[in-house]
Amino acid sequence: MTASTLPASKGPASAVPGAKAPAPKNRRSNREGFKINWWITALMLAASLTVLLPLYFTVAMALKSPDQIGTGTGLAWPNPMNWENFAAAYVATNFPRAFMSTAFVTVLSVIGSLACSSLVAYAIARNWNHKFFRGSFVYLLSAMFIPFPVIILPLIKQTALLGLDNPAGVVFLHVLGGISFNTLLYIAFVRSIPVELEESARMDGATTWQVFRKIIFPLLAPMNATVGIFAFLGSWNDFLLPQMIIADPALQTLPVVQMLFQGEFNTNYSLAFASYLMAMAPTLVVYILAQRWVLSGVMRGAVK
Amino acid sequence: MTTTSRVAQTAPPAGRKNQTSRPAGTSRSKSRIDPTYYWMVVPVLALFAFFITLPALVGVFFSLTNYAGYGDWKFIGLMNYVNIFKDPAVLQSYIFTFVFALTTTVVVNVVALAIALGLNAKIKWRTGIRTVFFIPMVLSALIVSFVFNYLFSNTLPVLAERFGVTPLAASILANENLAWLAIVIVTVWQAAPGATIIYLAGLQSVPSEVYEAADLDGAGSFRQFLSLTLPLIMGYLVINVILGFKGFLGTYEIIVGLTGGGPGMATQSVAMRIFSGFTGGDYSYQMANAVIYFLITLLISVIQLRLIQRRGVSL
Amino acid sequence: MVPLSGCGATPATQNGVTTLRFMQNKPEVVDYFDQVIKDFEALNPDIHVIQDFNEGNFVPGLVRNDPPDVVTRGFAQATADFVKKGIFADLSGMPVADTIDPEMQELVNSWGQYNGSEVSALPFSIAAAGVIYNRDIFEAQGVSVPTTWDEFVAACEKFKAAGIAPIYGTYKDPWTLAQGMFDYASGGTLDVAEFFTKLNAKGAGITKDSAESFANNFGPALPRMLQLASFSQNGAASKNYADGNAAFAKGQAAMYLQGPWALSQLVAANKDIRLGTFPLPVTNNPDETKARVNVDMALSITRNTPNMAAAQRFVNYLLEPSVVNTYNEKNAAFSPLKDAPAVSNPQISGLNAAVEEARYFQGAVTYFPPSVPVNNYIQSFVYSKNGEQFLAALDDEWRRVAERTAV
Repeated sequence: MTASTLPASKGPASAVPGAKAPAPKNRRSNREGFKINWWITALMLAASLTVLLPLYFTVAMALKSPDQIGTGTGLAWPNPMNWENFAAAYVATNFPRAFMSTAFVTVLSVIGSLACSSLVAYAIARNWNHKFFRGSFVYLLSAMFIPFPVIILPLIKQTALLGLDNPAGVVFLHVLGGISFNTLLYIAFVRSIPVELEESARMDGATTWQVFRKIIFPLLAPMNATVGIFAFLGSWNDFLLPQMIIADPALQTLPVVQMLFQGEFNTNYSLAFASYLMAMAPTLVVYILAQRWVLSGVMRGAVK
Repeated sequence: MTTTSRVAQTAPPAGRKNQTSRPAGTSRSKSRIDPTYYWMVVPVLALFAFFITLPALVGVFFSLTNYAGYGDWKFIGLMNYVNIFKDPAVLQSYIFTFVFALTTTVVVNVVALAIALGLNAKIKWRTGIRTVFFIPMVLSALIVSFVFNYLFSNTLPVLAERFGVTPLAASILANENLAWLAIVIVTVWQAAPGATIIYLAGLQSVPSEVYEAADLDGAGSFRQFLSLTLPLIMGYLVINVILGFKGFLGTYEIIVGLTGGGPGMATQSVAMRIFSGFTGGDYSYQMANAVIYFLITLLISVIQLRLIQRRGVSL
Repeated sequence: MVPLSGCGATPATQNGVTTLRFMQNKPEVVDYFDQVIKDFEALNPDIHVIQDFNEGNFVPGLVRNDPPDVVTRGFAQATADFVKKGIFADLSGMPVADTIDPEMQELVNSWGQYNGSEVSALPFSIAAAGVIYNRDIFEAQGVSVPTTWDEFVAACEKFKAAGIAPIYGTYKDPWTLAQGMFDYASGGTLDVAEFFTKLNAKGAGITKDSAESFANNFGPALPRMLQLASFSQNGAASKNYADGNAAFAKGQAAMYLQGPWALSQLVAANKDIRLGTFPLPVTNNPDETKARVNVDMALSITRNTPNMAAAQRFVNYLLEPSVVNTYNEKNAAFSPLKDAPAVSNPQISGLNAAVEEARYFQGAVTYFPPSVPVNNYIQSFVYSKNGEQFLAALDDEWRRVAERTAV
């Protein structure tokens, strides 16, 4: 994929002068880019401790039993390790069912976001000089500022009236809610796709739909990954919309079901943490798989 | 909104003729638009209007009533708004939230830019480190609140006492004047990954020739950063600052988890007051608050955009 | 499973089985009620009950005009608001309503009855709170349960002298200050229910000089609060509820100002701990000592439910002595029935006398609407010790709420 090789060929430039580390001039002339900057590596490793420490804490908590949660530093690794916390959380939340609900909502939201936002972005980007399309873009962007509490109660009524007070309704709302941000990202990317590609296809008799399907959308692959990962995260972890829109408790998503561990006065932290870690696992997996696409995708959005 | 065209325009370095320097896809015949384009946009616009704009208008309407979400209600005009301006607690929450959002935006962008620069450099184990840095974005608010609550209130004081650093022995979250700093730290921790992704994009779009030319001219690394890198990624900075500030104005879960608005009234945010209206029968009053909040946020974002545009973003 | 949500009141009956939605908002007893429901369904095969603990869905359910059929919630200001709007059906006609202790029913009715006389909720579980104490520490120091304020202070001094923290404070969670210090001190020095009735009647005309204001009524409670604070351990400001449970369970203090909800947490942290509870004596007259109570669970049926008959059968079942008494016994709470047996759980038996003789009050903070962050104000007061400012702030907030809800 051309996109991912671009940074490599720009190897030397990637040793961008950070405001922190000294970068001797001769390093940049090394076209291979194999000269590792150990200063910065060390700095980054040290900085990553700020993430690893809380992560360690989280995992340790998930393996503790209530009497092991003391008032000390909390950094002690639990001994014995209570793996049954995970089993207990799994059973208590009816994990498979909630997982399926959440997966249903998330997968459909991602697909919907990719399809809708890319279409809209393409149409707007290619007709930027027409007021209607520019105006549509501003209109869509304005929604990013509407605070959630303002629309939620009327929305609840509307979804109920249309029979959408279920996961399908949540999918709808996730897709629509994400349009502003996703279109913003897509438009930046579409601009970098030369019009000539389309024009030659059109001369061969292709319709606009065909141009989009066969030429544009495949080229959007890196940005699809970017939008996909943001949409996935947003949908998977969303708590408020499912809580208030889905009427049937059996169809609730993971974030809502996990409130089971948070009583007003009796939070079972170990089970809660075990549960959250299990719920987090798919996000990490999806993220790791998609991250190389993400970075090259966002980068590609600006470069010719 | 013109930010996106700025993004496209700042990418190519000066002096290079580039097809993206004008909006791509401008058709030659400006009068005839393929109707397909309308089909692509209009259905989404319609759904959007129905599911987003319509409820928003209804919500605004309710702010002019004493509706509680259910039961009887009546129209009361601008009474809610008048009452909001008379309520010192509301003003207090806006001031706090504003200061908090401002500080957090600055810190997040500095940190995210630094991390992006670091990740963009020639470091070992780049993939692994990259993954680690994005974990905070994935953790749920409950975990983040509890973990940092514990770290600030128990771990840090215990360690401080052990090593004799007494000032840190009391939990920073219980300190009326400094609790907000702890909230800033945690918010930065969770928000930095998102901003970093965007900055990484910006950094990788800067071609090497730019730096080579600067090297030949004898410019030092810091000078290059200030005069070359920063202007070239300005478009991304704009996105991060505007969206970030708006986002931080609405901070809710983290504050509830860390301090519950305390100590005392020190960390009450606007979002906390607005959400309290849901269960309290104060719904319409807080809707008025939410409408005011929306207008303020919009205003600030537009001002930010104008200020940045005036500084001449493109090369 | 097809979602059974409808946009109106269509009875949820399929194949002769009526489905009831039961909203029960305490996650920690979800398992317990699953069993209760199983037993009920065995006796009533034509009813199927679905338990829903997602409380955030209650108001949305009302908005959708599709709320749960049977609801149990703690009964306080928020639920009283629902009652005022006529959300719940009148249960006074049900025979089971007569089996409820009238004093406990009054705890619910005192918040206001719809149409003057309707009974919108039947209490199911009453939580009584006082001072939880570590029996082992008391015995080791030779301290007996105090029955007057002076005795209480003397006990605290004795613990202090012995190097034991008399009370474990968790100031970082403002609700613990509200529930404990504030409610106990104020409930013991004035008639809380009467105060709020008068205050509400005064409406938006309240000023700090009015006879009914906070400034003129809560004064005596404040010094008691500060004294209680002085007996808490150093660094209480940094500790929260979770820390408090862990620490108290490990014997780091003699007393803990919490309610029965904390008991299970304490035992979970230390299964060998021996606990007891006594009502905090705020005066030197033992007969005036009262316990703080709250209606932890009250049963209601939503007015427009299409399954009224089935809902009533379920409520009847829940209030049968074998069900309601067993629940309360297992969860360290008090049963609302007239002829409920005395509580034998040693952790809370110290409150028996107060509850039986109806020497109790509902906590002052529970009368505040959620829009007033009263807990935070209390926390401010404990730190600043400025009583005047505190009460003036309460009066101001209360007046503002009254003004905007007066419409």
